[in-house]
Amino acid sequence: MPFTGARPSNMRKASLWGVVVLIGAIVGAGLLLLPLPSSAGDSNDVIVVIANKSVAAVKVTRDDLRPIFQTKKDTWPDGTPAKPFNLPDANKFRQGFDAAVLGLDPDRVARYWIDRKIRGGERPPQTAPSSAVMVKVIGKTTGGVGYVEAAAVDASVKVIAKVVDGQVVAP
Amino acid sequence: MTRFKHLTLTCGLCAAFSLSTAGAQDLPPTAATEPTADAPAPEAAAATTAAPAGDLAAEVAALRAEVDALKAKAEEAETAALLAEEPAAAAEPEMIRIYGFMDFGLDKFMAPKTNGAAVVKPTTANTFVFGNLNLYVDATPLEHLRCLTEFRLTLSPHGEETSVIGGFARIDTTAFDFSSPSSQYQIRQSGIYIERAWSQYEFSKAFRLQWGMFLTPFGIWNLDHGSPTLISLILPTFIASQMVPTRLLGLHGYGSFFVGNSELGYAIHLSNGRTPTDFDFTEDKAVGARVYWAYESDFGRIVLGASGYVGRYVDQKRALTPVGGGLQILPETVVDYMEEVLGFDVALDLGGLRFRAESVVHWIDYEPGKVERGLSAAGTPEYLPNRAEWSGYALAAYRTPWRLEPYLSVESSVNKAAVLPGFAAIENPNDWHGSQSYSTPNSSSVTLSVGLNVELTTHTQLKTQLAWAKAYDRHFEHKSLDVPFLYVRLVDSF
Repeated sequence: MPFTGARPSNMRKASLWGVVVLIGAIVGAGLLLLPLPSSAGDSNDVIVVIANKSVAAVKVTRDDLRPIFQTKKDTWPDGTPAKPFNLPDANKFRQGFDAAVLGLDPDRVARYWIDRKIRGGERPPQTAPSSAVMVKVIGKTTGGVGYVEAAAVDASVKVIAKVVDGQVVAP
Repeated sequence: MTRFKHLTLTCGLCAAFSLSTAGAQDLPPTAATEPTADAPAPEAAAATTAAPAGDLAAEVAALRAEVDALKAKAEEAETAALLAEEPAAAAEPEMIRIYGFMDFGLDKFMAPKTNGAAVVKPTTANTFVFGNLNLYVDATPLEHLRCLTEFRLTLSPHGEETSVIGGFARIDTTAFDFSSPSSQYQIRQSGIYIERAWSQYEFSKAFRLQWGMFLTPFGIWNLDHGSPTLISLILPTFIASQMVPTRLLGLHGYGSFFVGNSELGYAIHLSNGRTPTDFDFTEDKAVGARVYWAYESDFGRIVLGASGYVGRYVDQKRALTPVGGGLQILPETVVDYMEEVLGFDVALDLGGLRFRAESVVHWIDYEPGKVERGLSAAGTPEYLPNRAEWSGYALAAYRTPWRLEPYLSVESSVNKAAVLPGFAAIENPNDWHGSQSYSTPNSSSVTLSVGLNVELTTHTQLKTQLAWAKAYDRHFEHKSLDVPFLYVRLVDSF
């Protein structure tokens, strides 16, 4: 058959199907590589929300804590400064706290702060490397607020809430 | 901070190890500590076990105490370092942070190249595309003072085609690399686009003042801004067609405060407004504002917002003008119009559901004889009339637990033109609608999209969007431009 120079229409279709197959392959490979979302902490662990003794509040709710840990609010209801601290991303108490207060699993928390960064927004709270350091930092920071396991609390801080079974409750 | 933490812990462990070694060296020498070929290892082991158990226990206790003391010192050091990260306490200005995002992908215009809309794309073939490479330089040199610059590195303008009389011309930025030892080597010059560059002083969360070039606080999409953050790949028409200027040069004050669980936010700005250059040719500055109400609770989050912008656009050219019997080079206004833009938006996050909708109305009123003009694809002059433009979209996406986010969106745009006497006075009033362009006044369009976002990692997403755009030209009373598009992007944030 003589070559006409025209591209057969079935070649165009094949090209289009090639694109579809390529996208499908990429998505499929991605899905195979994806781990399912990790669980956000062990609900049996009691997390206590601790604050510097300068904080007047004796108990706080999830709605009080959420904007502070989203860095959208930097004062307590009485007007004193609020300074939040987080534990590291991989810490199970961090994950439990984020699930209870922000309503987000670790992946969503990471995405949340990436989105804020791309928008040009504020940074996440500072990170204390361990519960022991968290207690020390909160004890020394006016308006400081953080969270640790119950066993790590000492007299240098006050407990203003607990996270029990994924719910923020009064201490 | 992390490096410091590692350093202190490493020092602590090294010290603990050296103490234990030192302790071992303090033990009285025995045959076991100096084994020779004549003193086999089993004998040495027997000698070690023969050491008094009480001494070993005391030694272990002492070592534990040493390790505990070192751990306490390390924690103190970490605490001090964390407290010192407060800008107010920092002895040195904070180092600059650099981060950003990039995307790369595939585009396909899925209609015959004879389709009228093909003119808006450089090719109808499958093509890989280099999308965004945006770099942020972010610094907080002083407490409450922040400086942010976002650059987009782009391959533009190389390859851009513009209509000229009798056809199209392509911009070619290819140049010889004279610094190369190979004299024939050529490079393509690329562009750096400044997305925003501002400094900001934060008086409080309720009032922050920015100066410089900032993203216009208008609606949802313009502030979400980046490909990692936006849900769909295709920009809304009101952003793509710049119904509202997407960035402004001037002053911008904004903030938010809480009333109970409600967050009330605002933004006000004073700027050069839309300008043909980076300068404003008039004294009347553009003003704009945005207000929003956000409510977040156990059910999710809802945001309702309203935005507005008012500004005058003026373009000038230099002209020899008779003045007092002589000639002077004076500016002459060639385009002059007032524009007002009003927008409403709603964002709803309900579990995995994400819903976004925006509606924007844009009015343009030209001064008599000062209308914009250009060339149609056919090379004939076209003039833009006073007009009202409306554009709106609604998008619903659902984040599944498997990091898949399918979404559906619908968008509609309408241009409604009106010819005023001032416009009719300068040219034949029938000329302006001779345009064959895609956005002819008195036209409308509808775009339907389906898409799937796959979150491969928290920093990487594969985004796919298939869209059908249908445009109507009411003036000519015919339908045209039934156009399917396919876009794929691999988006990384870093």
